[in-house]
Amino acid sequence: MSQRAKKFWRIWDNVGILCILLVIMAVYGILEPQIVNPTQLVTALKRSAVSGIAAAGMMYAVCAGGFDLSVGSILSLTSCVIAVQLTSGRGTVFSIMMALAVAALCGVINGILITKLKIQAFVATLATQLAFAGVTLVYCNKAIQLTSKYNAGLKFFSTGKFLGIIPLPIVLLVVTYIISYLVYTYTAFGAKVRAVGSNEQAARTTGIKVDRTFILVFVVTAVSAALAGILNTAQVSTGNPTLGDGFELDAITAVVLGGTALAGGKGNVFGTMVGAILVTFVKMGLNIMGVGEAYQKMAVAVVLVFALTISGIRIIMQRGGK
Amino acid sequence: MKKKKNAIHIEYGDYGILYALLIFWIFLAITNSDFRGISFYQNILTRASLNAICGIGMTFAVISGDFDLSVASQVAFCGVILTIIIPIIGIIPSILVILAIGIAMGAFNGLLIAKLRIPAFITTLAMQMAYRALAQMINSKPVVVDNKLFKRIATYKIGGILPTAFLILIILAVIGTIILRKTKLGRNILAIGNSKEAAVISGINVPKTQILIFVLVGFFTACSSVMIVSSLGSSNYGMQVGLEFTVISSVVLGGTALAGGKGSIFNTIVAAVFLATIRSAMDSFGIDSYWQKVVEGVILVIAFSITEIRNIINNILVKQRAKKQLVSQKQTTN
Amino acid sequence: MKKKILSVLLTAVMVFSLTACGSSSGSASATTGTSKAEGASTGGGDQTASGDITIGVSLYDLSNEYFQYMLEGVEAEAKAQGITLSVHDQKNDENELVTGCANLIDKGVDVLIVSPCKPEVMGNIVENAHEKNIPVIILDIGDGGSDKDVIIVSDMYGGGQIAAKYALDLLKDSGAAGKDYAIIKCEESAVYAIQRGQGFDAVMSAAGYNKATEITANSDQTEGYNAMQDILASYPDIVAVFAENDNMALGAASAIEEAGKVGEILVLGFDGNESAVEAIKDGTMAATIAQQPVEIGKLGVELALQKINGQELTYDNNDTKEIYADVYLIDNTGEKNDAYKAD
Repeated sequence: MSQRAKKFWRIWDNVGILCILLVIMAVYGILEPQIVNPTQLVTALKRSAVSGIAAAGMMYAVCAGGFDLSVGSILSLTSCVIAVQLTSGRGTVFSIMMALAVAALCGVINGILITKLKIQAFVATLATQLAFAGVTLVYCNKAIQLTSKYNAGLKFFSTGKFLGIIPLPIVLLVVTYIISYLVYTYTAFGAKVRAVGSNEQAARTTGIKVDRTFILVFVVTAVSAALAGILNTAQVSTGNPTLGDGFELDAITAVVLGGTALAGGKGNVFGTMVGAILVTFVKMGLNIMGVGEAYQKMAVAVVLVFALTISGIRIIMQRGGK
Repeated sequence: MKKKKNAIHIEYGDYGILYALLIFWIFLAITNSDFRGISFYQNILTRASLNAICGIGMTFAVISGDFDLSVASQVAFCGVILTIIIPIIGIIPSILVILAIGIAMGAFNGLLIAKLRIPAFITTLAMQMAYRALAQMINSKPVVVDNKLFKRIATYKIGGILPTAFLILIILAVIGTIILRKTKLGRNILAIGNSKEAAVISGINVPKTQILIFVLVGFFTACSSVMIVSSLGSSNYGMQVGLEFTVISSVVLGGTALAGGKGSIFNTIVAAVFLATIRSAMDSFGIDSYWQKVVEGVILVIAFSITEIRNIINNILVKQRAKKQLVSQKQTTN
Repeated sequence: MKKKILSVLLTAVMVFSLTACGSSSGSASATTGTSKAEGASTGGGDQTASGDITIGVSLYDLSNEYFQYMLEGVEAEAKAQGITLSVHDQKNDENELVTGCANLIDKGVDVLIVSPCKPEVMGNIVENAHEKNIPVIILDIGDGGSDKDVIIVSDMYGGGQIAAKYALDLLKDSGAAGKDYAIIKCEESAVYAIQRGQGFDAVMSAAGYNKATEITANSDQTEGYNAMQDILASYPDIVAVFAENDNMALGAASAIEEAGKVGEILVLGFDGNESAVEAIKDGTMAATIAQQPVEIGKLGVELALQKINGQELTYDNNDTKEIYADVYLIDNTGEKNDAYKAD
């Protein structure tokens, strides 16, 4: 591959998905300008916080070579835990702590199944998705409305404004990703995840405690799903055992769009964030234009295939145009 | 890994899952009167057959190290079209059309995966959305099948005993196994599953094989869509959500490692029957519906990790035996 | 040889873990399995002595409040009549619906009561049941064109009408000037729920109101929240929004609360869930339409008994073999309001 091409692809690595987002924004701008006016863009950013925060954690799982299909159930469980705790009179902080603790436990369970029982991540988290969903229903089988009596503290996460201007969900999203970037790039944990992801055997030989890394990765994924669940519950003001149904698809799509190589190894932190924003933005624009659900589904699929075709072309070029 | 003398040695393709199934059935027959008549087993076999037909194709994919997440949407798409064309051109032509569509969808998936180098997981994730959307665009309302003969295909029981669905499964399974074991394509697929690099080096046209793998998935999925529509007597763009997970679970449970390499269509089928039995059994035992999800999750975990559980128990036993030997040795030397 | 023995033992262990996991709990929570007349729940699908009646009940999705109430009604009436129940949860899966009913039929239940998640598959099931002389009673949702013995239908369309009529009165009282409203819809495949919005539409447009937009939120709460935000973005002056179920309505209500427009926009839902009633009392929702799942469940068992005793059923509509179950308004006080009726 020529030097110029290499340079192009390196730039694409970093800003490719952002380019696609800008293109779509431009298209929307022409079709329906209202979609791209500032208030609407802020709404899009706020809305992508939920899937974005969960995707930040999921990225680690994908980097390490697995994925977590149980994040939807963990989100639902978190939602119920918070709601039950709040309506039992416990404070907001306590309820959040409880929810995070439960999620961490779920993550540990996932990690143990994958490392100690040697079940592949896909099927392990498929099983836990079912089990956690069942536990959620046993714990709470009806939606719990968080009326103004209970949700004052929680609502802040959805409606609060940092420094009076920036909506809190956006702050939470950005902060999550900054932390994720720092962890991924500069900490030992991040290095271990990358090592395990590219070559598990080699990582083991270099003395990395692969099992512990995996467990930690799935705890990270679970906790970020929980954070997403807390925000989601704050948004809809209801603890709902079905809140996370189908959520894993959103999280994985964001990670994939973000450019994290699914074979493991290279994670693209901010790409994942842009990926989450992209999907949310595409759907929001179609909603505003009154486009039906079938076409919305198709649109996301097309974006996915398009984005991936480009990476595909890159791989073809790398191998000399085969 | 050294083969210990008393170690339990597991090979993929062994018959562990079959023993598990038989013991399970015997246990159920003993403890639950529902399982003493033939009809429950017929229902289980019918239900499992519908999934297992798709599982035949999926086995090829998993052997090669990939899986196809779009099968549920393929079934929905085929199903919607099937119910439209049956009244127009009749049963056999409709089935042929659907098989062709299945092959086409598989080829499309395969092209994206092999030629554009998009990982199978992502491609089929995207196509899952696309095919479902297409199905909805074609027809967003459920359609009831009027054709009695067609509905009989999946529900008829030969001689009152053998479900046709199961018979068709066996026939397709034989075809699948012949492809896997007796053709060059099959050998290539196994080789790719073992090691893609080695396959390339030994001259196998990997991209072409990959496309054919997904064509096989598409073909068998189309077969299963015909059976499913027949058994449901209807189609609906939202049908069979989650099918891909049941099918992949059957394949993995049957011992085809998700990392690829070995595989057995026979075991996939047995595993599918096992999973179907779990559902019926939980209902018969009156397990609370919410707990059923937990129980099923736990059973899946145990089943997926049975190899490892065996190893762990074996290691414990070996260690204990070693300790005993040491102790008795010390005694004899003293 | 040893390997085989060990594998046998291990699978036996695995299989015994099945029974170790609990059996049905009390009737307040969702249960499956056999409930004896005394109310104590047991496991095991045992055949009862002749003379005892067993009814097979297969319900759409017991993680959904509506069907939890329906089961309560069924269980209450069964207990009162000394009937044994065999309960099955379809978990919103058409395969479960088919297999579960097939199993119940094969168990030899006397009557099959079904609330189907996908009505279009009932055709085969009803045929199957009738071959064994098992009557089929369908509770709500739809009959998919099958030859059932009776279906108890809630008036989805009428419910939408009631919601609209109430909305119109509230709007008149509040003196709101705008004439625009929006509808948040369930997914297209929910052909019966879609009628709710159609009923609402009909009454509102007849009264001179204009449907600004309708967005599909797939019965999902978060999507309802998103949809409401998107509606507000384009149509900030709407005066009312009707969501085809409470799940979405609650999401929409929350979005309106965040936008600071509580009270400016009426939010109406459908289902009568506890959470919606809470929201109504809290002031974030205006009303919801409640069905009568408990009564429907009870009536289902009564009809089953009639069928077993060889009685002719009386229908509200002889052609379609329908019996109508009323839906009613829960108004903004959070209480039942009988003043509003469908056309």
